Amino acid sequence: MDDFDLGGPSEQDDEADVASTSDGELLKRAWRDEKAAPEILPYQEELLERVKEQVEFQEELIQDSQSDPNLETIVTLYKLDVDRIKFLMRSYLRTRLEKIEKHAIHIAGGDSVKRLSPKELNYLEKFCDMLDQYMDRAVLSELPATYNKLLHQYESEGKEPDMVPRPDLDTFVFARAKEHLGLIELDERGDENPVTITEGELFIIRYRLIRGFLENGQVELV
Amino acid sequence: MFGRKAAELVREEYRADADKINTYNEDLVSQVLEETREHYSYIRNIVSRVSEEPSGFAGAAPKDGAAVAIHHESILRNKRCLLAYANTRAEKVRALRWQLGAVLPENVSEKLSAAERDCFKAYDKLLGEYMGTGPDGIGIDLTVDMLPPKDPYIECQVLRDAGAMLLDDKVVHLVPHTRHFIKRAEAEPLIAQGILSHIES
Repeated sequence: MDDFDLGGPSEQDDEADVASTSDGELLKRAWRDEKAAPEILPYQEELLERVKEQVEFQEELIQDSQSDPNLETIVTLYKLDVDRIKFLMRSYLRTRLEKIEKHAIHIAGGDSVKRLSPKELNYLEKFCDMLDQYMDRAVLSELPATYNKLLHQYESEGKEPDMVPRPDLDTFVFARAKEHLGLIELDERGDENPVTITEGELFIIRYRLIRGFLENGQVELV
Repeated sequence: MFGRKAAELVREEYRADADKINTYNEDLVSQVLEETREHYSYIRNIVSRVSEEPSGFAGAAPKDGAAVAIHHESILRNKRCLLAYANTRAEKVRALRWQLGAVLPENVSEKLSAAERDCFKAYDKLLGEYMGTGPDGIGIDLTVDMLPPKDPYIECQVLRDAGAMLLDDKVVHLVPHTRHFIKRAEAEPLIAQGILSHIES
């Protein structure tokens, strides 16, 4: 069932490896990466739109063939597959929401904000307002004036915020190299010997070190 | 002892199970806030006394400087603890929305502070908007399908009578103690509400 096509138009992509993978497979990969990465990753807008359309199409098809007793087994299989895809979609969006909530202020104030979908961005803005209001009411409004800022420990004039929860980019992740990565320096101080990572290799590594490779699609997280 | 109460507050929430919410400890929170304000008034008293002395801040006694520094650090510590307490609680309050749905049962609701109850309502509205079909919504309910599906239908036992309901486009009456195959997405909210229990095969 893995390479079962959802019935949508097959994607004609220039890159051979993309063309040979179904959207279901791509979604699974995007979901895995998102689950494993400590920070929020770019929203897969086109992919999600395609999958959404295909799910709707497939559900209509199921609806139409449901009354035919001869098709019962096939319909059940189709349903199962649509359910799987819907789970991936929901879990993908849920995982993103979790990260948006956890690191709301960090995301809103940095480059990661570009990685959100327009609706996620709207969610983030309202979420930050909500958090502000709640923290103000629960704690901050009761504190002396020089100490009552959410993002600063003490006074805020001309200082960088020093109280923002940020994702831990030094957390370890399981990754697989999709192509030859060459020599990788394991730490900034040079205490460890660099290692060579070849295509297909599975390794555990600090997220920060493979962040760029993930962005270029050279590794996938598992 | 400076900072003792604030640490207690954090420890209390830290020790609690991640999926359970304790009663909001309003008493302890206000004691920590009171302590914080006291630290602040100590600082102000010292600063105003020193500034009135002829030698000014430059000639201030080391003990005054040390006192201000300690009071200042105590305030920062209390602040961090209070915010950590509030933030952890807010995370749990949001988790309640996912676990129990839009309406909190009385026995949970009474454990929350007024600010937390409002926070729950605001979060419910925000999440509803995001999952809804309006201009800001994605039109997908994310609170179902929490586990990867193995089978489109799951076997469930009815725990209590919940009247007639619409399942799979048919009106059914779930009689207690009977077993049914129900669509996973439809069964999950009922399992969360304690109407059904999932029978693992």
